[in-house]
Amino acid sequence: MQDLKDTPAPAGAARRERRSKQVAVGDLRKLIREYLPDGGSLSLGGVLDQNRPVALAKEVALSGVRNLKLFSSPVAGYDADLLIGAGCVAETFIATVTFEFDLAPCFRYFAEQGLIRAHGVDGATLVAGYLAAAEGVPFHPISAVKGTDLLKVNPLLRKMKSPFDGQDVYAVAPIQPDLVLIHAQEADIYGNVRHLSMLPFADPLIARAARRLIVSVDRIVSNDVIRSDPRGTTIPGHLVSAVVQIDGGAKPTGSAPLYGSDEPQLRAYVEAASGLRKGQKDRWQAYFEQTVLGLPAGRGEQGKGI
Amino acid sequence: MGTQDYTPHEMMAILLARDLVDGEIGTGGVGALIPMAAMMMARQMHAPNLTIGGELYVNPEPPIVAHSIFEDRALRRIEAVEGFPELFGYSHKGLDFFFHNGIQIDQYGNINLHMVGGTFEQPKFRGPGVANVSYATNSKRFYLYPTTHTPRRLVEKVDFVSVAGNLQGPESRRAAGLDHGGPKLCVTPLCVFDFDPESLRMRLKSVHPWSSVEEVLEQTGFTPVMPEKVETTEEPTAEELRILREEVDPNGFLRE
Repeated sequence: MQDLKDTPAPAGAARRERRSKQVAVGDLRKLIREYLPDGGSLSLGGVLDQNRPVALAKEVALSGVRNLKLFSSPVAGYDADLLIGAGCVAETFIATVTFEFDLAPCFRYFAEQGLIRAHGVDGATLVAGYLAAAEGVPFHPISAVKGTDLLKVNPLLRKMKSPFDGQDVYAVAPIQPDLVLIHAQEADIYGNVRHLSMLPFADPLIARAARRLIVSVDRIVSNDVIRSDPRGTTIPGHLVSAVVQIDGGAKPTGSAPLYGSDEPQLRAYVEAASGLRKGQKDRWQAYFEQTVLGLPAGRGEQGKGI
Repeated sequence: MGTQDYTPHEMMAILLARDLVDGEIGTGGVGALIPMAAMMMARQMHAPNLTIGGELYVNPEPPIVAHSIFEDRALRRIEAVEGFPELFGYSHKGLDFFFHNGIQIDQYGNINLHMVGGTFEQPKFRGPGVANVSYATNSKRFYLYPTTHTPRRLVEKVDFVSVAGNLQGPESRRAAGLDHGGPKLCVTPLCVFDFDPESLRMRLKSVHPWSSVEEVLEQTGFTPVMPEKVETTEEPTAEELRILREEVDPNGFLRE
């Protein structure tokens, strides 16, 4: 993940400072375009409505990148849905896209209209793919999908026989996203990340599968804080490409213990996006641009949905 | 409905709780109020050594059901945190029990959470999908808990098998290599089904006091196996209702 390609130091070379990986919010779109080509693969951390990299996902939407292959931890909601609504996504490889209180409106609408290919993959497939990438092996076997119709539609599986006992298993190739986005509560400027939420979800695993990793945190802490509790470091800095401080970067999803998910806000989103199926595209478009992306009214050239 | 002073969802949680055994381990999936209530009920009643585990958190306490179970506010205090590599292990080695709701559930206990109508590439209705199909495949048993009982939800054959129940019966289960217990009970707002050991199809076991065999048959999209005698479901006791309301669901989500 080291971006500095350096040569060995000649004798007498000057002493240097450790490099900060902290970037400004204003640098994000350029960085995203550098890491994430059109048609590239993106994966999102957190689970459901917790620790979701919402602010980073909005930057992806505003970057104008298109035809993404969208991955996530096995269970995604708001951030995946808004990227689909933004028109950034061609294919999804996510086990579940849902809100806890309702279906994910853009995911549903775009899939039903044939505007995205919503592949049928289960959680074990995704975990196996991330494990293979994190372990650096050519595939990881799973056996947990027996009997289901997912065998017919999951493009990530290849049937094989175990070389030991001959039983049927399924191989999953490494899932190595071009870019992974994660939100956590704290990090230092070198990218050492701490989840203060009780669960770090799949973030430590997906971080190890990533080609590039951008982490947003609610607050930057000192390297001394990191060193005071090394077991609290969930992602070591050498895995991180860039870290950005965005207080509230997971909102309206939760970032425990700093803030909980904002259910009224999530419900308002679902309500506005449900308009897509009812032919109220203008209403959705305005809500999406002004409320979700925070663009001034009438500015529609970026983050354009449908 | 009759004059009972509890809701069908409270009844479902209590019926499922009774079937869980002390010392077992299992979990309930995402957005699963009724299973979480059932597991917590069991821990507060007859199964204090039951472990709620397998999905990243172990034994939330104090036990209060909440819509957003992955949130610290809902989990409160837990005994251990696990990661996805551990979850992957439970997925393959299996738990003692798991629970599934479904957009469609068919007479063999197969579950559809993906799509209805059209093609997989462009369905008429696209569902949320399913996070984990393997707890059902590899656990000793699982429970079905459709939160509504209608002919559209309880269907003859699912449009898509997201989670394998008994497929099309014993032969198909063998052919697919399904060698664990499969679905044990289907507890609905109207009745309880178990599974006929010969055909592995749903069999009407008992009807809740406010319903009737006629209503169940009318609201079910297939004809279940009928036993000689259909019992009336045993009602919750005062003690069960007290524990459910005071200790498990004080916010009354199961009464909504």
